[in-house]
Amino acid sequence: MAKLDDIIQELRNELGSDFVAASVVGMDGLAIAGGSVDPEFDATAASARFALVMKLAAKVSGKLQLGQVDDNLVTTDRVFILTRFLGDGSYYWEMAVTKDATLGMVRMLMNEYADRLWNAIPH
Amino acid sequence: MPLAGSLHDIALTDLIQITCQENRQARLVVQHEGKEAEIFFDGGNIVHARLDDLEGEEVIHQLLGWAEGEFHLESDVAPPTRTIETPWSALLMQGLQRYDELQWEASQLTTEEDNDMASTQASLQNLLTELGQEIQGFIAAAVVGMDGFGIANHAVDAKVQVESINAQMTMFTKLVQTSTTKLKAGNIEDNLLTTEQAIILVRFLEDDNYYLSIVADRSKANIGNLRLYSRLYAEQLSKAIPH
Repeated sequence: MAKLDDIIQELRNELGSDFVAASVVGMDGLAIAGGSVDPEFDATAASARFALVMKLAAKVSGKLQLGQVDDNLVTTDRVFILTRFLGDGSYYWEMAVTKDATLGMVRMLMNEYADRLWNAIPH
Repeated sequence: MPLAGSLHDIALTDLIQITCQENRQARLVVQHEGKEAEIFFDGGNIVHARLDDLEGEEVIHQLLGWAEGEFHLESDVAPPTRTIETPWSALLMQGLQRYDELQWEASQLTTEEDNDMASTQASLQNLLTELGQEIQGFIAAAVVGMDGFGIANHAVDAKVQVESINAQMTMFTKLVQTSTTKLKAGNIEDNLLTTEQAIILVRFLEDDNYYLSIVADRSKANIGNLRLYSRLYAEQLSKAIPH
């Protein structure tokens, strides 16, 4: 998974001190790459919990006939947590950034890196 | 032989009228919700009434409000004292008039509460309508309780199933809220879900018991505009909700 980790490192460099965590996660809730730079942000727990969030998002969108889910953005008083499905939806990737981050930029990066990450996952 | 029965079958006013017209000396015992009252009749009039520590005309006024209960009427029971001088017909008239006044006041209070509720709903509705005019690609907005029920909704089209959106998004929002809490990632302010066709923004209102939900057309909406107006209107909506 070195290639995936390299891509995440590249993203981390782009975001600088705003970067908190990023992981590529299977829909079983297990991360195959990534991690957190903030000891208070548990990347493993986040991967597991947000797999459930993304599954429910897909279910809700299906029930409301709104098409496939692209991404989800949670804003708390500490961080932004973005999650986005990759490829065929068997993986998603999540990123946490500080509230100082430029949200538009982060969303754009999420979108840009999605294809690269999907292609780097061994199939 | 005592006459006994239920006030459901014969009204207290009828019982009083019949007993007085028969010029009976009698004692009427009425039981209602664990209370017991006595009315004494003599010479075609009510002469005494007692309910707990209360005696006299006021007892009759109170008993006229008892629509349900049991009674028994015993003849030839002498009154222990005389506390009522007013003729029975005048007494009933006064009592019924007072009962009607109390009923009217109660209905006025209910109407005031209903009016307050209607006015709150109208304020929320107006704010949601205004909000809809500010959002590009607006589809629907609602103020929703964490039980999944909307207290005010506004949609551009009656076909939009706002109740369904409210129920589904509440379930989803609760999971997001639990996840961020367990991760100690801070208190959730809003959640933005983007699908192929729509953008759904959920923003918590002041006390976290309600949230504002906005659904916009993905192809027309602007996320920055959506987040900005949701923030501005969340404040006003929070103020309009009674606490």
